[in-house]
Amino acid sequence: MIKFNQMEIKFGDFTAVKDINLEVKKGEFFTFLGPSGCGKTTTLRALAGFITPSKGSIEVNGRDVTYQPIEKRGIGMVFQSYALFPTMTVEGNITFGLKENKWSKEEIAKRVKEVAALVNLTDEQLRKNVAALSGGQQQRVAIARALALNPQIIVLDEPLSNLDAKLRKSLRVELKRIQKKSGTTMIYVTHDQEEALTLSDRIAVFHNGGIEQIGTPREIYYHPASEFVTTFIGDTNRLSAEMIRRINEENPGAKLDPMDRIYVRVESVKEGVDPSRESEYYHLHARFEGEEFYGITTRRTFQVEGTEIRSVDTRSDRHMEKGEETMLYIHAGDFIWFKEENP
Amino acid sequence: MSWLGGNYRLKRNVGFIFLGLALGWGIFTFLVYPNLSLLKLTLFPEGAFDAGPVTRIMASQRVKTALLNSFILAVCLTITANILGLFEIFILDYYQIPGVKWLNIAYHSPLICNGMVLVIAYNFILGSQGFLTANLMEANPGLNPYWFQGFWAVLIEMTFSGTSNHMMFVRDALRNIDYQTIEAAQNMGVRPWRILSRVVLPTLKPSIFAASILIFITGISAFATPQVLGGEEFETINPLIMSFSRTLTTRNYAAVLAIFLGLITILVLMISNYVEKKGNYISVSKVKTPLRKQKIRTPLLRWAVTVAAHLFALIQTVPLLFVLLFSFMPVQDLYGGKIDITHFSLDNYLAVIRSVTGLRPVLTSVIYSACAAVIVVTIMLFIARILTKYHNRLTGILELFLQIPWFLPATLIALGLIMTFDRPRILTFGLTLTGTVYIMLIAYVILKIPYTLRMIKAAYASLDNSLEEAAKNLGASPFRTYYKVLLPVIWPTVLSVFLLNFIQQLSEYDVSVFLFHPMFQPLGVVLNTATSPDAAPEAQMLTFVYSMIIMAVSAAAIIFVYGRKNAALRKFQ
Repeated sequence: MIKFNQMEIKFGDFTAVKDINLEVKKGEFFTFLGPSGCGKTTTLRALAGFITPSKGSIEVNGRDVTYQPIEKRGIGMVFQSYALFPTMTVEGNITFGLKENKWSKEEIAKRVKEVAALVNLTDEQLRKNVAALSGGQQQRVAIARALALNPQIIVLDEPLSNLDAKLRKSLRVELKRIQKKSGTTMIYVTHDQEEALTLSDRIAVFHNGGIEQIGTPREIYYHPASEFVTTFIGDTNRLSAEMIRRINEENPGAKLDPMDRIYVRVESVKEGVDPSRESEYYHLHARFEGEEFYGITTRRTFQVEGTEIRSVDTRSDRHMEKGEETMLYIHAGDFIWFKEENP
Repeated sequence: MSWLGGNYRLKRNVGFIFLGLALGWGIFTFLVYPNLSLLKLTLFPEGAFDAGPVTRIMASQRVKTALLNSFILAVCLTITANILGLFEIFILDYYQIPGVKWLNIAYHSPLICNGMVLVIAYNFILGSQGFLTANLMEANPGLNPYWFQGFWAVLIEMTFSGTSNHMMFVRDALRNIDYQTIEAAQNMGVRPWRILSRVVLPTLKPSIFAASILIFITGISAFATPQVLGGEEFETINPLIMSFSRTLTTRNYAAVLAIFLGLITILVLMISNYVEKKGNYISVSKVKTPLRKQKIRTPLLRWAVTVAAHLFALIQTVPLLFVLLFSFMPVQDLYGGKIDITHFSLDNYLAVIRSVTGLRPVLTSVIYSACAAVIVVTIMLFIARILTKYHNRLTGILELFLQIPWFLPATLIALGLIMTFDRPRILTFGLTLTGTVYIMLIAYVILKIPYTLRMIKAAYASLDNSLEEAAKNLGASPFRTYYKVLLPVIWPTVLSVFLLNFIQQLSEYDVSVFLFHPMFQPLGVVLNTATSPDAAPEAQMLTFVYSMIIMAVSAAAIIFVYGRKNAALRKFQ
């Protein structure tokens, strides 16, 4: 439905994004994930029409929209700052686009009712001034306003980043529900990996103005295509050369190359395993350093040959003294491997 | 599809060229050309370079004295107005002093009672025909009726009207001080006086500096006050320019002096820009705690400060009250120095309302100020939008040119306009502007360009960029986006700027006196004429009514503007 072909965007001499090739299917919830300055918002804004690419093209439903004016694209947008019009009521905000597009009075009244119901806004809230609403309610208005025109595509630029953690979680669930119910294709920009993993059908990971990997949340988590994706998503240990040598020493038959870049997710570093399956794991002597208690999980840090390795575990009753010797277990299948010649 | 993009740009470019031509013409014709032609008229009087007028004028003792007087006045005023202004803001926001509500109102009187109105008040209270002078002479017949005249009279009047800058923005800086820095100093055992001088005052330094520059320029280009209260022994530059410009033979001298005054102003502003760039600080605090008031611990000092605070409040409000009383009094009582409530009447007010000549100055000033305010706000809404949207060399130059009126004294602008447009010019499409009703309107607009531009630009800059994008995204055209979304958001600022421009020009004198049309005398000129000892007594009485009208309108506008600002602040907090 949406296709970026070889898109490049320059600001003066600075190339913000390059070589963007991407296809989004109808009805998908698609996320652009990446750290700040990686080009994800720039790509989103090019789709909405605020930026003209210097090279390449953007297609929507098979039509080239690269040079189409913003207002002709029919792509709804939810802004990071919500961009609600402060001089209008909630209803005024929602009906603004409908009036600009010359909808009839009856149609407008009907549509306001529909979207208000969809995002759970009451009649009383509709009459209020936007400044009188809380952050979460303002966000609902912003979504309702984007939905009102019934666009096939809605793009959302870090819409939850201004809310507190709890509200963010509940709105996330709601956003997914709204997307399913309205059947809209949504493109979502975020730097929050948790948001990306929970919401998305597919994710594009951006880095330094390019796309590192496109895939489902599970593909990206379990089969990261690059070292950047490995370290950016989830919590990972990189095994140092000394550590790899120690594994080779302690586990006869293990012939790991210390020059390879090997990563292990913290949840794959076990402090104990089922004795019957112990043979499937590499073991490694380590010394306990310290721990952080999170409630559900406990994160521990260990020392091996002067380098650190971290684990995460749901068991928190185990007490360890600093410097205590212990055994760690890592499954060979949990290694994320990048060969030296092809980093 | 790419041809569409190209076509769109072409259409926009044609629009930009027309716009650029119109702006370029307006700026060159009214902001640049008059000043250039003034330079040419003075330095190349007969077409060839002739330093004669310049050397002759610089040799004149009268000119030298006037220059020196202006300089002394500016320096002294900067010191006295700063002392008084700082004292007043500290009384209002930093120290615990009884009666702060009343003091707050009293200290704001310079915002309402200023310029020509305050000069009038001082003149009819303390001047040779003044109310208090009449009383003093009764008690002491040997008193010189001109006792309140000269340097000290001018300095006192200007000091008490010069605190408005402190009230407007130095006070904001004081209120924005992070109280935790004071508490930190207290915690370290620093004494109150040292806290004031080492912690509080240094944070105010940038705004005190900015206020000082404004006060200095006000002092050096003082006009109405030294003209009325200075007398013969204390002549400053601007009144001298005025008297030179009256006769054709000495008009060149007026131009030279005006240019000289312009050079001084430019020099001062350049130095101030340099200094401001060098030393500025940024508050690092993330969570600000509002200022809490300090108690002065020494009882004697506390008493002295309280008495001084109330005395200053009295001095700032008495002129206003006297004008109110005078406006109900018959002329004999004023000259006789008597207040007799049984003689009070609305006769002066009726005299203004009932006759065309009485009402005409009010209407003239209202119409001129309102038209100028509408024109300047409209044009600046447009230009400021361009300046905030496009940052390139061209817009940079545009902005620089629009600052010209801020660098040049009003008298220079006025002289430039009359001496340039006193004959048909190609730039004005063959029209002569001098002597028409339009030239003063043009000057009013020019004077308000820098302030209006700065305020409206700031309003645009504070707009969230995504508002505009959201509106476009929802299908609104650029015009509708501006009209329905952006303009409503900045409208309160626009209205405030309009009102402040309007009231500030109601009693405008500095350019009006050069440019007014004889049939339509604005209030500033009428008020000034009435201070002359040979003005008709009835005309003098009318000035109090005019002053009351000006003050009432100003007060209403200021309460509207600042009441709104404070309400918004409270809501925000």
